[in-house]
Amino acid sequence: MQRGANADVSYLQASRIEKGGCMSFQLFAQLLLNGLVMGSIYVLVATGFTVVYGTARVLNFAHGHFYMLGAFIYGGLVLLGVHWALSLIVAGLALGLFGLITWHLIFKSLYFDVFLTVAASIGLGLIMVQGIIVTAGERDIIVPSVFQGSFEIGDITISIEKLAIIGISLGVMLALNFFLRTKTGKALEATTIDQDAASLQGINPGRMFEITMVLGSTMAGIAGAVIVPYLTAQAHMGNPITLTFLCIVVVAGHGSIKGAVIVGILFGLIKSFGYHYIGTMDIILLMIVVAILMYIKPWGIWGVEFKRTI
Amino acid sequence: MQLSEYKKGIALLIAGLILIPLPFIIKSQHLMHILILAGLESIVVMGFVAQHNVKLITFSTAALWGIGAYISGFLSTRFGLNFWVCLPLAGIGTALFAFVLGSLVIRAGWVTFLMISIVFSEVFVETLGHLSVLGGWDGIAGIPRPAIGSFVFMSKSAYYYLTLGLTSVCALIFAAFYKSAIGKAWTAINQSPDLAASVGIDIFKYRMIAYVAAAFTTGLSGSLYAHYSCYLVPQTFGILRSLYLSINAAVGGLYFFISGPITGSIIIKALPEYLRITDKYEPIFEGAMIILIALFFRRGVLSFFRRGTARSL
Repeated sequence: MQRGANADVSYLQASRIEKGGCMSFQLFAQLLLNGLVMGSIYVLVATGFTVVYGTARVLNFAHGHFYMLGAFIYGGLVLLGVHWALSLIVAGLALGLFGLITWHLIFKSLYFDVFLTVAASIGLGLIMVQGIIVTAGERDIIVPSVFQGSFEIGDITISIEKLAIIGISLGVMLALNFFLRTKTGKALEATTIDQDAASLQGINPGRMFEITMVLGSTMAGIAGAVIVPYLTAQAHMGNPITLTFLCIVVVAGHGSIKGAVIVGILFGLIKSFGYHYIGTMDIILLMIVVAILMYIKPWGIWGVEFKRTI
Repeated sequence: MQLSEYKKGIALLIAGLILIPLPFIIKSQHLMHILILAGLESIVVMGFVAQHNVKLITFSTAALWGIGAYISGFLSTRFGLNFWVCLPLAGIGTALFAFVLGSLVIRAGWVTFLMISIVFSEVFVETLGHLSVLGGWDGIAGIPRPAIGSFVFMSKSAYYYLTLGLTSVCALIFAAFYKSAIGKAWTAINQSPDLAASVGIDIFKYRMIAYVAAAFTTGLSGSLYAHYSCYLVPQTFGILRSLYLSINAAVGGLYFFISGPITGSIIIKALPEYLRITDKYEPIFEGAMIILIALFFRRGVLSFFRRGTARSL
């Protein structure tokens, strides 16, 4: 299971050109584009996790497997011949519903008991991965991409698929931004800052927790659905991204959406360039960066020193 | 409810009377193997419970265990060192590692500690798999068995007594900690970190002590594990192992610092032997079991007999 920890960069092998020699501009542009693609997916997943943690205080370590489930739902629907946009929406909604169900069945009653929450979420992840292995098998499933073709600017070839991934992620993040400006979004933010004070103002915290859980799970599902034509659907695809989004949230600070966006893109670029120059041991480089940042900024770059986190 | 010293003595005596003659009663080699593993795991789980007691939740116990095991395995296969030399070196090495990692991470609060522990246990396995010095994914084979003079520990019963000895020593170490002023500070941190900090308890220091002490005993246990199984592969020490170790703690009861880990480890190790399910569906049942334990069974088995307080060993 751990062997797949670097699976999400294996696609870079396609663009991996001979090592040595000076870096051409073409290579740089390709690496940059790959980094942005991976970074935008990291942003979606990490933001989903951080929203859920920030408001509902649920450390959902099955979040990476929610992403996997989204990828499988989208892939299954597309392979059945459903239109891609409809499949994307269905994958997002299905994951939102799934998040709501898990909140009511599991996380609600484990509220604030962190150890049991984490243990239960890892157990949930186990069930999800094995459920997928039982139904779909452990092999890689290739999902056809709907955006074929590419265009050229000067020497650089840009595939439309990569642009579409970046575009959809951007759209989802903008939608989240608009949602946070509505009345419900403001109530959500108030609950994040101080739950007791928010409930005194007539905000129902339980409803807010439901909303965040749906929001976070939907974002994980959409991220999985968007990236799956680019990678392949695989039952263990949630493991490497879990590792990455945990690092992102730790570096950015818990509950900070802005931080998650910036650090997510940064991590995508580090992953892309690091994989090209260092190989599969790039995770060590990432860990060193995280360790140094942890020492300088223990609460994360944009993190707020919560009283509860002592 | 506090047990009086008299009752504690009786309980210890009964435990000794059951545990010491066990190899003469049990003829099944497989059952002895399970008991040895349960003993080794109970040491690790004691460390987990000690860390949980200072509100540090970790999911890298198996990785620390693996560090102890790999130190011992590496030293004994490369440099031909004796088990009795490797054992303390593994403990000290793991404690040193925990000191470095802890000084980086503990200050950042328990949420970061938890996340970094999960990342660390994933990275640990990945790194071991790529390090050809330590055998890569194939692991280290041919680790020598411990020996005193010409007597080599070959049989399961010999290992059983070795494990029993090591578990008792680690239990004594932890009991001493819980009895001392350090243990009182741990309890204070457990009950309210803010209040403890306000009366001048250095939370960072006491968390560090708990983490390093747990790492030390975990390293000892890992060393014996390496010399017992004689073969190490990285996948043994992944995050799932850590999760199961923490489930041992939850089953025994998180507020029974020494009896809980031992009971929980024996139950969790022995239970699957009697509940054989088909391979394909096993992780589903395991995951469901973990969730059900978390939902309906949080106080642990021992809480049926007496209520766990923050001061019960």
